[in-house]
Amino acid sequence: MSTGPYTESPNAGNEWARIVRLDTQMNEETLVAEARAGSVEAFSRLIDRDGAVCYRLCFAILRSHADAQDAAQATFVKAWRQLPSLRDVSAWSDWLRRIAVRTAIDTARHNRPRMVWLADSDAAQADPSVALADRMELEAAFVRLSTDDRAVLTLRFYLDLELPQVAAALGVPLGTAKSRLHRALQRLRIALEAVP
Amino acid sequence: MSVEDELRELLSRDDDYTVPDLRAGILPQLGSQTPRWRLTPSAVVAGVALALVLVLGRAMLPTTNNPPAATAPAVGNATASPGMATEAPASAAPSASASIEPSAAPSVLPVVTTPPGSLGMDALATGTLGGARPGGGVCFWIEQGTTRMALVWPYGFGALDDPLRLVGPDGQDLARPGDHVELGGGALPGEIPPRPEDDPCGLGKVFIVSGVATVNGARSDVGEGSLRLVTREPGTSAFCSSTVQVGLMLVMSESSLRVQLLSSGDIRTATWPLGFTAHPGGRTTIVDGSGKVVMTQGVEDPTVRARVTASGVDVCGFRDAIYP
Repeated sequence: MSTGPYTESPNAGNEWARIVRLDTQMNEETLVAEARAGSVEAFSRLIDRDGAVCYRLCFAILRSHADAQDAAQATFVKAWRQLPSLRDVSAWSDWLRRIAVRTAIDTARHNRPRMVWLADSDAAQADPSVALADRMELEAAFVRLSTDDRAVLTLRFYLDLELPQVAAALGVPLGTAKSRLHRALQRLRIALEAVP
Repeated sequence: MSVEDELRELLSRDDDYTVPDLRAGILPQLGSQTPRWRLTPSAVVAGVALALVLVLGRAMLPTTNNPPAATAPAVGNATASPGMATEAPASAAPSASASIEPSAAPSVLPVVTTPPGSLGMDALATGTLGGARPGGGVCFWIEQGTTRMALVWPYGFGALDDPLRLVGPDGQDLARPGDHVELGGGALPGEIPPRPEDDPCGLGKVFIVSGVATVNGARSDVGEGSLRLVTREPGTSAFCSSTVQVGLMLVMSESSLRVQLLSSGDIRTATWPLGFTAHPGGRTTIVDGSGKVVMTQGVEDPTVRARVTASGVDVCGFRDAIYP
């Protein structure tokens, strides 16, 4: 132990150790537990870690970058406020996904209706093997679906979740998720036929 | 390929988009202290205490060449009327706060815009921004595949050259040709041909923009509303006669014009006297009802007569002048 005027206080040592611990690879459960205990630093790292997934999930449902950003940010704010109620820290990802889906659906309901939609040209031109027109038709048909339909399709075909996980993310029974998915696919096919 | 597989492929393309910085929009809402470098009231008190110690310490030294009085005047009080209450010395302490001269701003090129106060439409157009300089003018369009629509921008927007780019009402760069943009607004019905002056590139279709929602996935939210000032109704400024001089700076924050308190660094919304308007340019200016420029963006003014409340700042005048 060092002595004299250069001795660091015990608190400074603890603080340094805490920062080092946060800056190294903390696993998800530790981060969630720290965040649940009120650590904004730990929660910031969860945002860095899971923000992109959350944002892309919201964008897949909402089809708007502005709305997706709103929804992703609102998701994390809700998560922060509800964290004390999360008993099992290992359930963080599923729990956050459920909040994100709910928030995206709410965002779509509250936001202005979309009257014009132009498919993104960069994305459309990214893969010449699939006809641009087909992709635009699919995009147009997908956008015409209800937010609930887009949510169930996104969970199943974008996140590749199995039906029990889809049901959990939507907060509905398995049978309900199954029928919702079936009906959403039906409506997508109908919408595809209706695209001029 | 099945619909399911096509959908998988369509949605997987979303991964190519740039994810915006989410932290900036989340952390201020968490309701906890986050480590930030900013001037807090306690820091101000500590700074004043330290300054007093230094000043008094110097004053007590017999060999000092700096008389104490030389450190005493506060710039912000220089024009205060006798008997008028003034801002706390700590807030007026920075001696450089008298003014910061704006640097020479590049000249903004005019683009086709709507008149001030136009109503915006609520559609959303997504695509790639294009731009050109036909005959020395400027035109921008949004492009999707082979379809192009000329863009009419909100009042206050402009362009800069070399390279060509769109700038917002306060002169900030918003987007460049090639950027992926989401624009709020609305298209003219197909049966209404645009006027040639609204369509300098002769594209035949026009989208009237009410605001720039995102650029390359990053939130922008800049529209004409950015320059809209909240002004007081007549007969609601009785409190102005008792206001003190406050150090303020006009800033663009969260896509709208606000004022920054020089004393604390806090940025707040402001209400202005009736007839005040904001005008775009290299730096946005606030102009009173007679056309006189009273504030310029980025220039500190320690002589603003204003009432500071928890919810905002009520601007009443400057130096000894109070607007009705």
